[in-house]
Order: sequence, then C-alpha cells, then structure tokens
Amino acid sequence: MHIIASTLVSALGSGKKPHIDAWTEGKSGLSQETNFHQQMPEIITFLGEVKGVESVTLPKALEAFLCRNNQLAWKTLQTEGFNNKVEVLIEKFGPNRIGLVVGTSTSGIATTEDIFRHKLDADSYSDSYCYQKTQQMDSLAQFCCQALNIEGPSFVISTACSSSAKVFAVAQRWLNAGIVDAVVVGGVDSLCLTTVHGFNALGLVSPTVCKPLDESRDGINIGEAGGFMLLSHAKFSDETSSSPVEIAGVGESSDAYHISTPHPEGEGAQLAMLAASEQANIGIDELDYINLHGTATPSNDLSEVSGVSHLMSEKSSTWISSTKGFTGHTLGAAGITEIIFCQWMLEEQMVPANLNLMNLDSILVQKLARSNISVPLEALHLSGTNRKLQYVMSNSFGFGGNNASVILKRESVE
Amino acid sequence: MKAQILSIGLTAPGLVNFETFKKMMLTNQLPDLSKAIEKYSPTFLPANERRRTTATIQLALKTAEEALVSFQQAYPEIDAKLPVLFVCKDGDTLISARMCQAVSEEEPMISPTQFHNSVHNAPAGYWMIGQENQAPASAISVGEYAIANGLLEAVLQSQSYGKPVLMVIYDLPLDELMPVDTVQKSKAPFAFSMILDASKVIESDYPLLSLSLTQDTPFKSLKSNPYTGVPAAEAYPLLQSIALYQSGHEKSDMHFPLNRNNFIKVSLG
Repeated sequence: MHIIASTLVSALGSGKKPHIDAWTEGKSGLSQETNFHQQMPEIITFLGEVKGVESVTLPKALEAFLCRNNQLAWKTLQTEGFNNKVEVLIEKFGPNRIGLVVGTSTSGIATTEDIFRHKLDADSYSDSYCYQKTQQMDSLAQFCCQALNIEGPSFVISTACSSSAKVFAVAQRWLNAGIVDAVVVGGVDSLCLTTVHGFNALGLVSPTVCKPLDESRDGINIGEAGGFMLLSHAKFSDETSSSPVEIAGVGESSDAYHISTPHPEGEGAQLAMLAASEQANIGIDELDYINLHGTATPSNDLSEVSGVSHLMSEKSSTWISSTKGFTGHTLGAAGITEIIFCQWMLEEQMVPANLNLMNLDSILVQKLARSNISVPLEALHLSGTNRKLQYVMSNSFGFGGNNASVILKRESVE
Repeated sequence: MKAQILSIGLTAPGLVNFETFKKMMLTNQLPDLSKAIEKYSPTFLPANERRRTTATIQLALKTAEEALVSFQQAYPEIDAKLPVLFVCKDGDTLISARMCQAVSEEEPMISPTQFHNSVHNAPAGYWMIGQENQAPASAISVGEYAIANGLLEAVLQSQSYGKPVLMVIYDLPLDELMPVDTVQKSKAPFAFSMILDASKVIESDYPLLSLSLTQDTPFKSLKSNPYTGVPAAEAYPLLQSIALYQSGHEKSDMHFPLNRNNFIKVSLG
C-alpha cells in the first residue's frame, strides 16, 4: 500500500517539521505542568498534552460531535493539508470508493466525566451533551466520515493500545477486495481522567518522566495524539505527491496469556512480528530498525525485548528504540503515531534517540547480547553514511493481549 | 463476496440459542421477551478470570461459545483456534459510567479489574485466554452500521487468513447509570455469532452468504422485529431467513446500511 498523505499531531507539535526538530534536538514533549494536570492534583506524573485542543472549534454542521477527542481529530485533519488530499481522491473516485478505519481506546469519554464531575442534572446537560456523537465508541469514525465526506465502509477499532496499528490490516483487506480505491486509516486518543486513574490503579503510571528500557524505568506517561494516513494501491503523481515509503506488511496476534500483563517471553508479540515479516517477504534480520511499543513499564519492555531477541540471529544489526520518551504513551493513537514516525525516519534517513535512557537495564543487555542489536542514545543521521534504513517495523501491543506489527519499506535509498 | 455459514449462536431475552429460535420460527411462534437471558458462566475460563467477567463480557462469550461448540461438533477435523471479530456499539456502559463517577469523587479511585475490563476488546481478550488461542482478535464499534460492516469485515478476514472466522455482534441497552436522557428504543440485549468461511467450499447445514455493495435504497421490510432498538438486533430478519431457509419459504435479499447512502446487499444461496 502506498502512502499518499499523512498527518500527525502530538505533544511535540503539529505536522512533520516540529517532530523532526524535536528528534534532532532530543527534546521531549512531556511535561509535569500541563493544563490537564489541574484536573488531577492528586497524581504526580508527566503528560504528553497537545496544547490548545480545548479551544479548537468545529464547523457548525459537526458541532454535536464536540469533545476533546474530535477536536484533536479535526486539528489533525487540517494539518499538512491532509483533508485537501482526501478531497482530491474523493473527486476522482467518489465518496463511496473511499473507506475509513480509525482506532481509539476511550473515544470522547472525557465529556461524560465532565458531566459526573460537575454533577449536572438532566435539564442542564440535555441540550449540549450528545452521548452518541461523543463517548459512543464509533464517534471518531462518524465524525471523520462526515468531516471528510467519506461514504465507503467505515468503523472504529478499539483494541486498547494496538487499535490504530490494526487499522492497516483492514485497509489492506478492503483494497485487496477492490471495494475501495483509497482508505483513510488513523487513530485519535485524548487525555481523560479514567485512563490516568485507571493506569495509576494498576501501578503503571510513572511519577517521573518515562524511561523506556532503562534499569530504573517505573511506568508510563500518558500522552495524546491524532494521526491519519491516506493509503492506496496506486500512486497519484499528478494531484498529490506520494511518499517514497510504502506499507509492506501487517501482522496480528493474541497473547492468550493475561488480560493486562504481557507474556514474559513476548510469545504473542513474536507471532505478530513474524506474520508482518512474512507478509513483507523479508526475514526479521533484514529489519534496519524496530520502533518498540516500549511503554517503559518493567513488564512490557522486558517482554518485548525478550520477544525481539528470540527472533534475531547473531548477525542481526538492527537498531531498536522506543519513542514514548518524546510523546508519552498515546494509547489508542500509539500505533498510528509511531507508524508515521517510521515513515518519517525512512524519508529523512534518521533514527531518533531512545529518549531518557541513562542505563540500559542489565537484563535487557543480556537478552540483546545474542545479536548485534543496538539502542541509539543520540539521534542518528544516516545520510552520507554507509548505513541505510530500508525496512523498519513498528510494534503496538494492548490490553487483552492484543498485538500488531507493521512493516514499512522505502523503495530505493540513494 | 461469498462465505459459507458454518455455525450460528444467538442470545436474547426469550431466545436460549439458535436451535430453539429455528424451531420457533418453523412453528410460527414468537419469542417471549419477558423471559430473561439464562444465567451463564464461562466455564472454559480459569476461575480467576471467570469471576471477573461482567454481564456484557458474558453475553459476548456465551454467544461465541455456542457457535464454536456446534462448529467443533460438525467439523472436528478443522482447527478451532479461529481469528475472532467482536462487534459492539457501546462496550460495557455500567463500567464506563462507574469509572466516570469514580473520577468525579473527592478521592478518585478506580478498581484495577474494572479498568482492564473497560477496554472494548475485553471479551476478545477473555475469549482468547479461555480458548488458548493466539490468532488475531479484533473489537470494533460501528453504531447502526454494525451488521453490514461486521459481515463484510468477517468475510474479508476469512479470505485473507484463509480460514473460518468467528464473528460476534452483541449489544446491550445503555446502563441506567449513564447520564443519557434520551428514551432508549429497547431494553433488551441482543447477541448473535456466526462462523463464516470464505476460504474454501465446505458442506454445511446453513446457506451460503453473498454480499455486494449497493446504493439502491432498500424497500422497508414489513416483517416486525420484536428486538428493534440495539444495532445487533437488526440481524433478526436475516437470522429468521436462515432459520427458515431449508424449508424453502424465505429467499428475499436484505439490505443493511454500510455508511451514509451505502448498503450491503445480503443474499442467501
């Protein structure tokens, strides 16, 4: 599948440039003093907040959809001219021939939280609160279809933190069946109290900045993000300039182990990675880089690195890193966030640092010692060197033991 | 797009399973909606997991289990560790309302079990654990377009995985704790499951399902649907046609909305 267009908004900023700048400077988007912190004074942590989401206005016809999640979706669709590129393809093929599949874990639940918090009675909220268009789990798909004028097949995938990686498998199926000419895939998850308190109850929220793979890592920082990609089997050099990057393989699996704890050896994760590499028609050894799910919880990072190391041979010289230190864990949007990161890494021939890593966990060092895998501590700029990125993979794993891996390929690397 | 239906499960007030529904349809009886869904416990789960399941999760698991058990009886030679697709509009609204209430308290406190049960793919997660099944599992939400998108996704999954797929479409009315003031059309939960195979020709007691996309506006069905109100129940006329198929008096096509202005035409053959 060719990438016709993509857009991303995270705590690092809107669109490609601020993200590449942050990678180059090693600057995190995480903060311990965001607006959202005021809503949860009892919790000490860093958050990856997108500034100004609450002041985004929606067009009149879509006002009933007003909630933080759809505001972030709207902001993201307006970024990088993404909505205009979708419009070009709709004019070309018609709204019936474009599909849309997006991931989210909590949809617009923040709106319902607000109603309980302010103890509003039925009379005062009935005019403005519309459950069906805010919290209801498919709100994001309804909203994006109407915002983009899409009328093809469409739904929300909600499999926790793998949601917006699994959307790529759906896009493949629709395109392969010939029922659409292009698909908008993506995901949006926005800050809300239930996820912060829920992860906190599980003891998974770090009181400091998150430190993926570090020996002192102690949990996640929750972030928010929105991202979309426009995919097609064809390239459209006339109206829209495509990226030199394509989606080469998607793999999915289940842990069948525990509802909220990953398998210690990353058994399910291995199955997803293998399925993706089989579809991309490459060996795992041929991956130049893996963007880890790398949440910075002790159990996730151990499980994932174990899984990766099981699949790698002695000759593997792959880079691996987590970018959660830049954005926080954007949950249902983590898949699309990091898959767009992989696209940009291939375009720019750049690997960002595994931010906030001081001392690589010695158990992970042992796991990785069997192969030549390395974790970049500084940003790597590969242009002009003899190392290139051609195949990269992004991992996304969620509660319920739900795994997805997506491999991206750059056609030719100069 | 064609797929063979290999087995069916059905749960709703007044409907114990698909076989009883079929008998009722053949003898022209109407379901008695005042009969609550029978108590169910997912015995295939380890005790720890079993006691953590909620009514929403149990509805999905019961309906999945019915289709799987009859599939295993009919096709003992086929690997029963199938990819699964769970389709539900709202998920567990009792949990989401309780969580929203909890975070509004002076000292917010969410139970860890409640939190991990709140994910939309909780039933899928429990199902895969209980079945020791590492195949892909998906959980989607698509409101009123559930039947068309659910069937399409299940058929395409079966094509791409090259094996049968278990699809469960289940919906419950919003919990009373939800601050929703609109009058709900239904108080009845409704769930059905199908194991569909688009990968090969296979003998079955059930008809072949053919799907095609159309923009033709469907004519309104004159038949009454006692369960109207939740999206899953929109499959009632389809299930009725399947139940009556072998007796030969139900052959008409059905249209299910896929998105605004688009439909999936479903024919049985």
